[in-house]
Amino acid sequence: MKAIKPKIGIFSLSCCEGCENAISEYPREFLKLANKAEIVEFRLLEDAPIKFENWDVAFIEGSAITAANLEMLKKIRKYAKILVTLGNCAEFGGIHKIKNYRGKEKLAKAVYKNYKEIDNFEIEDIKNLVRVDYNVPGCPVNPEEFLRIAFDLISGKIPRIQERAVCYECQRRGFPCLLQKGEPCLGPITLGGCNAVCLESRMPCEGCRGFYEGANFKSLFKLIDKQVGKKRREEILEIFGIKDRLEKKIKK
Amino acid sequence: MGFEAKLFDGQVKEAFADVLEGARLIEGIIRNRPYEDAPIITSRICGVCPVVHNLAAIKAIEAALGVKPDDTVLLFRKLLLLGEIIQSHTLHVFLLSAPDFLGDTNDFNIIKKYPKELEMVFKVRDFSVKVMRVVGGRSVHPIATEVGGFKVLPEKKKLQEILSECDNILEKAKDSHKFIEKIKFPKLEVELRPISSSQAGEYSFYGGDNIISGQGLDLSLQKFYKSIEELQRPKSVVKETSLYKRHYLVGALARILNQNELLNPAAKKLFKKMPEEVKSNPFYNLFAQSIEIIHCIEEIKNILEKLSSLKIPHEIRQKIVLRAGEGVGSVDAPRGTLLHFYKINKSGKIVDCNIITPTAQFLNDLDHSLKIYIPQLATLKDEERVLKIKSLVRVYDPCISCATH
Repeated sequence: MKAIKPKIGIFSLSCCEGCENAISEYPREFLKLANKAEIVEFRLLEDAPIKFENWDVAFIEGSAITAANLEMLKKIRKYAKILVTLGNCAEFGGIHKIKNYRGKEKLAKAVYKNYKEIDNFEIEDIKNLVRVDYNVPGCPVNPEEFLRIAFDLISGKIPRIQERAVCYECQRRGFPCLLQKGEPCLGPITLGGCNAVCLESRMPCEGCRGFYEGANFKSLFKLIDKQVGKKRREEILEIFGIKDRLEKKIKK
Repeated sequence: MGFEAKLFDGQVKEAFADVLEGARLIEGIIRNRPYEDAPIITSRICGVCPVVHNLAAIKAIEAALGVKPDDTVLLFRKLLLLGEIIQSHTLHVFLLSAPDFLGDTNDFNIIKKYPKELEMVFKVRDFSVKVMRVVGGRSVHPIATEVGGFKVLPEKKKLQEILSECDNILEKAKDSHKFIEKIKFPKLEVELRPISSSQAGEYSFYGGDNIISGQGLDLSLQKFYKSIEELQRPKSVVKETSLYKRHYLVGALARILNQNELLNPAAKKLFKKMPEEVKSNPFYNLFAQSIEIIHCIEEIKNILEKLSSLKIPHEIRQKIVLRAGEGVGSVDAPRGTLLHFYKINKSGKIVDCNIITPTAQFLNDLDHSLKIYIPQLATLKDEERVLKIKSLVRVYDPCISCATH
């Protein structure tokens, strides 16, 4: 008897589609996943309109920033046993959440002549719109981590991301500390799992993977504020949409 | 993305793109932020071609601030860019467009049907991903690049390793081309007005000071930027462009028509085999992309050979002196000429930004081609007709993330 394969759907709302591109970076591994499970929806590799059926796992990248996006998201939630947000846009709203921080009407007016006629929603984290079961963090996601989580999910395991900071991974790999050089780096407060890929290229961490729960946020901010000022620190927190949730967290 | 065509007596009156992507307002969110954020944020316009946005932003800011990168920096930027062209083209040619002509639009089926061929394609793509990782730090959203230079440069050992793979990968790309070369495209004759960047003595991706057309136009980059007219249809989040009120073509086919004399030898040989139709049939964009893959591999080898005789520093960074200014930066992206414009104030903040993407530029050309193509399909069954229309749309390689941004 042939075993029934779990069904996976991979969906894209408004975003750069870089997570979809990143997860196919190891095509042979990706095909192994497609072999163990059935990938029934994936716009990058097939063009049939979405056929709504019961999916065992649905991955969603991007943000719901139009009425059509929102409707699709809610419908996917209805049909998905497990819903997984894929990447920073889905988890935190992505770079375009800067709209919320800077006045979205004003920005739309600067970009479009017919700015009143377009959908210009407040950017929401997907988990504020529908129930989310798991998350694959990052901008873009780390393809190896995605594969690990996807294989875990189709074999009924609970996927885990180890609680440790990017800073830990950076030190372990022996990269020079940018904070010590005076550059504002969010490595100490950001969830690891990226192998400190940015630090490898001497790019300060800007927190795309969200928070490391064990971090001492206040002491890092005190240091960064001294280095570059509070205004710049807040600007950096805006880039990957983490500013609002972080502020709430610190207040607690 | 959908396409809407209004038919009148069997003739197409109007055809236009109907985009489901929302407005991320990238040109808005970048305002009032320090210029250093622009290459990071704008690379997120597109996850298939982030490098071109990153580099166009860097070039525009360098123009605004009067920063001149040195020759080694230019070589590494070109390497990174060539990697991305190959990556994007392999994805598009073999997995997004060719399936239309191979009789199945589900790639999982195509991969099962042609495992040997797809394995060759994967090897070429793996190679391009490796180039981008080594030079840019990562393939999706580069991290090592910056205004003025590179935060870190690759070790020579890694460059040697890529160099040693070039010949083998070139053969794989040639074989992959043989596989799709057999495709017979539908007949379609339109007036193509190819536009691309231009550089003295080389097939231009990185871009120089001028933009050229197949009709003899030769404009400075600034003049070209100012001459483009952007039009936003009501409710649309895409600003389609025209040049002197006319539609025009950008992308692989435009580049290859404008500068095939500058292709590297293996690529040039394949271009010479193309029939005369290549000049007027947009379906040939698929072959143009495949030939460009071959050109890019040859070019990566050329650059790596140049670099192997140079001493590579660990990093090349410049102290940036702030000043108020504005600048246009352009590179030829996989899908065509991309322009970024920034105005920066004296404290280094961006006060104005405009981004004109390849897809926004060729949408009017695509509309025009559809108007000519659709009436030819009048006798076909609906299902077949839809597939044919989609195949023309896809062969243009529209990128909706880019078009919307």
